[in-house]
Amino acid sequence: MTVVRVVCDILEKRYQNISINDDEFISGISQYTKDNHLEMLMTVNETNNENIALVESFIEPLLELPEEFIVPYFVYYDEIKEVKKLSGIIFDIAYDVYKQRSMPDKIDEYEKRFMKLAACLYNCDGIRTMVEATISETIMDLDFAKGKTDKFSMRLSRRVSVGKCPAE
Amino acid sequence: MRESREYSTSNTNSETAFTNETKEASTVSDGPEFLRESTEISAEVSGGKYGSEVNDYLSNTELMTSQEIAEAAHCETKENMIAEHGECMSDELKDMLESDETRDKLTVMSSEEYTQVFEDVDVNVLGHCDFEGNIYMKDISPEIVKHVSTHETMHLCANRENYYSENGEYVQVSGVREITTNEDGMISDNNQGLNEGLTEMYTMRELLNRGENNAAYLISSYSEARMWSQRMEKLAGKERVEAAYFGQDREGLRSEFNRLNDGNEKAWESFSRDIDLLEYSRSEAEIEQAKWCLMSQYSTMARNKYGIKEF
Repeated sequence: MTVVRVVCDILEKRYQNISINDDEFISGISQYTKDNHLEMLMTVNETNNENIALVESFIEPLLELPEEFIVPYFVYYDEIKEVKKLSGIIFDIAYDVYKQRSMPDKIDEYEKRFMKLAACLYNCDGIRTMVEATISETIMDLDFAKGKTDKFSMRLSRRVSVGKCPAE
Repeated sequence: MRESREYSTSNTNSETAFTNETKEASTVSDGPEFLRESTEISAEVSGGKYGSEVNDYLSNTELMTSQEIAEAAHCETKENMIAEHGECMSDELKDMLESDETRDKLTVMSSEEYTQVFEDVDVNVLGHCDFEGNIYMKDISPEIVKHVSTHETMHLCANRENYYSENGEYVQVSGVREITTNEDGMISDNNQGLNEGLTEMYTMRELLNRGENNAAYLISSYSEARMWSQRMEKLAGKERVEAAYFGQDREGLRSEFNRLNDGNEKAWESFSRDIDLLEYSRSEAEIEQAKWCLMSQYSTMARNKYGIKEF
């Protein structure tokens, strides 16, 4: 039994309304298990029940979330990951601009890709609360990088303040 | 030194915004998760299990001011944390929490006023708790105020210590977080991400116990640090985690964690560092490595905990 199958079975058992045959849903689960190295919990020397128990124990914190969060989390897993990746790239560009380094030509391309994904995720109720702050911060970084504002995003103000005092 | 268990907010003012809705983003400034104002927030509360007086109070939040909402959440949190974790708390901490003075130190103010009063605080900070236990927050929305007030109060309920170590270092403790300043002024900040994860874990539980689902899930539902805190709690034990966070027994948690990692004395430090990387690093390679290390640790701990031998 693969770890993806194990996760699917656990979700199916836990949530009655989940459509496990959805390709995007399974693809999201597959990527999630890969990113988190869940295969480490599946060894041939252990029984299926032991493997399942270990995987279930790991994903338990996720399963405590309401169903309306779980389904879109996996369905849009790749998009969420890509948005976070682009957000990180744009943040680094904003920091480079702050440090008066040159701004890469690709900023418009990154912005276009980011805004397209952001618009898609922002309109999904289950996902919106998870990504909207990241989206908002990234928009601020975009504006800063492109000289539209001199205001820092929260994360940028944190980065440029590094070393001043510890947060707490 | 400014204590900054802060939630923050910022206006995007973006020409590229794809929605007309207000864009105020917020975050725990020393934590991993961003908070975000919803433009359609309901102040409805389903009541809870903590007595009719409080239920009546909370069920009428649409009639309450933000200050009253924050104070209600603050008092409920204190009361429930003392009831649930009081045995771990020091007498000094319990005395402080049982006092009405903490409520008097909680202030909700308009964003404009906050910015004027705290000129040295970043413009997009939403609220903060200082070392004297004063909590200030911007009046953003009822649900955000409930969550922020509960989260900040949770920090207040966590063990707090300040002392000089044997080698002359000044140590400030909040929950499991330890900030050490040596004689040369060098600062070492440990367990930051983990402490935020634990704070949010207890905050979520408290909000859900009160039936405040909207306030709970509006913010930071997918915090990696919170989820890893839950996993750690399950493996190392609820009692040890609460003794470390609300009490002064951080060593008990650390040693149990290391014991479950085949006695690796560096396991706890490695775990804490990886949580910080997961939450604060921008490097994909670093995050990938941290995830691998965390899962490797988890695999070892879970097998030891449940008596499953890996061949």
